Amino acid sequence: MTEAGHSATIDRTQKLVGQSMPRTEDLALMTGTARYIDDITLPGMLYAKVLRSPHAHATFTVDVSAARDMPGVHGVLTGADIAGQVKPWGDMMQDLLVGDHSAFALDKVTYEGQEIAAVVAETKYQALDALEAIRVEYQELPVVISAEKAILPDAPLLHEHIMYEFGDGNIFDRYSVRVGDIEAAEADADVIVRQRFTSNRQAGAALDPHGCVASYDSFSGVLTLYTSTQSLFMIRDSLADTLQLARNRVRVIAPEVGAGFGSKAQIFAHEVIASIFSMQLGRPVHLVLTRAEIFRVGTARNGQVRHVEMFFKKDGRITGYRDYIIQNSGGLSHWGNQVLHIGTNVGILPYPIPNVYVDGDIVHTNTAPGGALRGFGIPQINWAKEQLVDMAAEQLGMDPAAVRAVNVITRGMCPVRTPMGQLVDSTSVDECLARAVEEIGWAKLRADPPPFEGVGMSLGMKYTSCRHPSFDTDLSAVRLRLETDGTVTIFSSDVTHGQGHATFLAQIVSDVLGVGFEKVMLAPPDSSTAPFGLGTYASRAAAVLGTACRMAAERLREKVIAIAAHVLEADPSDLDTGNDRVFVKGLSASGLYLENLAGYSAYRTHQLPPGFEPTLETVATYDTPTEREAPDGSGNLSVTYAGGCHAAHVRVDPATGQIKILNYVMVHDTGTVINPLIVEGQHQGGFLMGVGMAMGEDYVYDDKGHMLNATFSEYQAPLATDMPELNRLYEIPAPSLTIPGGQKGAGESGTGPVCAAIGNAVAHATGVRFTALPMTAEGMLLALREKSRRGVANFRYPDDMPDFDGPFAYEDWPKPTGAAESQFL
Amino acid sequence: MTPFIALQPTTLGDAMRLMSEHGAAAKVLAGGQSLVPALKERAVRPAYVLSLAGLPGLASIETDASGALVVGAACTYAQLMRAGLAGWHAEIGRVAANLADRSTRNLATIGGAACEANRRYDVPTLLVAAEAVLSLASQGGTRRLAAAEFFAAAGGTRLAADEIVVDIVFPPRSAYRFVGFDKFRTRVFDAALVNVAMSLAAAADGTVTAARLAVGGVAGAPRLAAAIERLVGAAPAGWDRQAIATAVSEEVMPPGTLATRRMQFQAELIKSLTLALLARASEGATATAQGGL
Repeated sequence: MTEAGHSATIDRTQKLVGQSMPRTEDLALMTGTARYIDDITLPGMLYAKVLRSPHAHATFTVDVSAARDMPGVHGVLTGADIAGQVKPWGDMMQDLLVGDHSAFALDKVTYEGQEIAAVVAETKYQALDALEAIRVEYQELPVVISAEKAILPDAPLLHEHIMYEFGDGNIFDRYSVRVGDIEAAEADADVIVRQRFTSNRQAGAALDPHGCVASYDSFSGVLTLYTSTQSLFMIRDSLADTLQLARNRVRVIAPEVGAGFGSKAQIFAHEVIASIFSMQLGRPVHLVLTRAEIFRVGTARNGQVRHVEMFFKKDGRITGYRDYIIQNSGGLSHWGNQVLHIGTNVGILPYPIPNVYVDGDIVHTNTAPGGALRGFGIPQINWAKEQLVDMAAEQLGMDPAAVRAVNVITRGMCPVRTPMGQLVDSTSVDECLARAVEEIGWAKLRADPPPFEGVGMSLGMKYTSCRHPSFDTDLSAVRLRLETDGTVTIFSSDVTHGQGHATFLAQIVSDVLGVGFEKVMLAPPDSSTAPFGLGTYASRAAAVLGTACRMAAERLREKVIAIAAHVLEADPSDLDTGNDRVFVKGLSASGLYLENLAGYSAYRTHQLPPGFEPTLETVATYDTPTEREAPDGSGNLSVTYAGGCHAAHVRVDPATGQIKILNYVMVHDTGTVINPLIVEGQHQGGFLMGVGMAMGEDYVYDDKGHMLNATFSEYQAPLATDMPELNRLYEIPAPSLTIPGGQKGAGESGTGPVCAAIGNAVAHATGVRFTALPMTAEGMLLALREKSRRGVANFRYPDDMPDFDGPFAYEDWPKPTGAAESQFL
Repeated sequence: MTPFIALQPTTLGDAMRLMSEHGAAAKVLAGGQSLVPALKERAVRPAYVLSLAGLPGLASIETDASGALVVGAACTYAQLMRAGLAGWHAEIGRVAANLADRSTRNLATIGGAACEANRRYDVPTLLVAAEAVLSLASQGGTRRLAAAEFFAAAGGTRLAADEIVVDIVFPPRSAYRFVGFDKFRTRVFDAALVNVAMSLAAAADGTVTAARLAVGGVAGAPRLAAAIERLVGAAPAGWDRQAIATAVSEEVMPPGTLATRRMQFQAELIKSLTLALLARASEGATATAQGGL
């Protein structure tokens, strides 16, 4: 038993929800029998490869004629071949007027790796050989890597032929929040802290690559796409729309998906390319990307520059938050504007700040596309906001923990509507704070840290699924079928890729229906059989999919009870379910087996109640009772809010700058936990991605826009050997009042607070406050040396470095372009 | 990978003959830990790949009559770390034990690392500091080249197209009182950002009689720092470690030339690593396993 509280033994006499059922999924994963996308082989399958631009910004002409004659080649495609026939996409997810994504660049690329042409051949190697026969003439254009430079008037323009409704130059969308009276808050403030913080680009880095196998049946006209994705129906609908096929003629199947973290929550060019080849040739087409391709075109976390100000009263109360954000969403983005909306709206929690004023410019640069990634904007704002709280605490002469305690939403306040519009139905984040202070040994370490050691903390709240401002839905669905032998099949289009759907959904079904856990199976995700749902992202599986599953199970339970009541001539209210049967309450060893009841429904229908429709299938869709974003940026976008407090104890090596995490405490409110084992795994994985963002990962570009570290050997994702021992995880449940089972999202709460917790600890340990991510040994050592040269106690890195490239004084902050009426400066 | 002809000689003579015919268009395959990934990425496209796997006697570790340690070029890191080398030779085993990851250490060879001559590898720096000598065999005979000569300043090696490295000879244990290696890498499996190797010969009272220090990771080949020779004539108690470490760093990476933060960081690391080695060398009197003075 770990301190997170999960036990190795399962008590079968109790409800399974709340117990650490070992994951049904793990045997296949651990024994190598799971089938991932690259394991799929279909009869007659051909292999496609993509020619990608080596330049980040260039116009080009392409000549593929030689490639067509290469051995084994069945087809070659370029942008010219599909122009006007294949519809661009990307409009729906970002609520844009037109799609800005296309399978191939037509005559201009805006980021390295963008698709120029593709070849399909008998073998991968023949396809690669043929790519080398393609001749491309590039005319290089000036490149812009930095979002701050991309908004300048003289910046090279990326998408000169696309009209973005709210765009201007390289700004393709804008964001603003106007809540309360920020000027009054500023005038009334006792302490104002302000700082420019930047955050890095981070990869999903799922080990299972992006890829697909498209298989078109020319007789039925059905296009089947096997693809490594988090969402069947978003892919199906986007693909059908792009290819202008009827949606019942497009079938999307996900094999085992070796994680996504948000990076597989959208349609990609390779899926369209493989589909077109398969439709042209009537043969299955395999197209799986290499790691170098995934880094360059597989979406990265959106980098942000935040110019944040926070206003405090001398008792520590936060009265205002003002921010101007420039977000780097790369050469094209599929989710970038939503990241800024949702990340900022939710990320400002757990403080009910009365006056909030935000402007954001969402910007294209000649870098990798910005996408969804674990935390969806929240780690970026948390990095800035939680460090400013520490900076304010110093000016206020207060303990940083005390400043947080003054401001945090408490369990007793809930349910509460914040000025930003969030309806926080329940929380224990205040108790998480107190527990973290205790577990990390805050008082002693804060007052008397050993040399080069320090402690820091960060508070965060996290959405549990979300009603995206760009589309007005937040639903998931489950269909259940009681099979004729008393087993149960779950159908869902929300693809499990680490969340343990086969396990935790079976726990719910087992509890509600009384069927044995081992008798419940999750069908492979297939859009032709699964009910419509949005997919697995945004920490939504346990709360949203789990609720749909509970509803479907309750409906199924009503049906089996109705049949049993008829056969037993009993009142339904006298019956109960359990032990794989329906029984008269109190007589659980007797009763009718679900197997028999299912048999009546299938093979002995005269046993059924008069007029009873024989089918033992039920379907339920749960759409969260969330709100649309209001014009002022407020609104309750999330059905409930997970939260937590992280505390880090670090030591900095003054000889090398290496930051070592000596101890790390995570105290979370995940509401009612269905499976503590899975939730602990989610928190550990979330923490790992947080550490990667905090201390190593970034997309490193040269000034021509070439990514220099697009391999796992160079890209600084943390390894198991770099992890501290994570045995200080605690749950303080505050069950959601909105979600019927009380659960909250777990997948991303582990990520959000990590950067700021470590940043605050590093500042405590050394007096160096990082303003840019990641916090590397390189930055640490140079900052320590510069700080000692100057003989100062506090030093901001890199903003205080003499050769720093970019605005760093408050007076130099750019004016937001987002709002003409801005009173920002 | 692009097609190539696999050459699999079973005697050194056959290998020499094949190299004289095809060497200019061939790559030599030892452990494959650098070559195979490069082949897969089509980063190299040799017409021939000559495998050393069938050649006898290339993977031995022996001490010759002079006490010199003769390490076969196809010795793996795993072999070196398990060889139980004594005196300062143990540092070779420690270097081998502390690079890359376990599967790489089981396959990668010391000769392969020397020929790859990647600036971030550990082996070149160690060879240069320890004054190891490489034996290069071809049909024309075997020539011996000191490591400092073998690695070309602009990167790469001075290995001729028809030559194969057959062994690497380290001086006898009596040659030095201390050989130490240290490096900085971000993650445990990363190649070094900077590495430093130092060898010291000393009189019985600890007075240094010869000192040599090489820095890797900052130039095409390991750089020797003459500043370390300031140790000569002094016993550890008389070393101004800080001044010497600073001088080493400034000699290898002059302060006015540090154009990037990465270079500034490397310059700081050279100081830190040199200081750590000097500390180890001077404290070694009480830690004989480390081979101190």
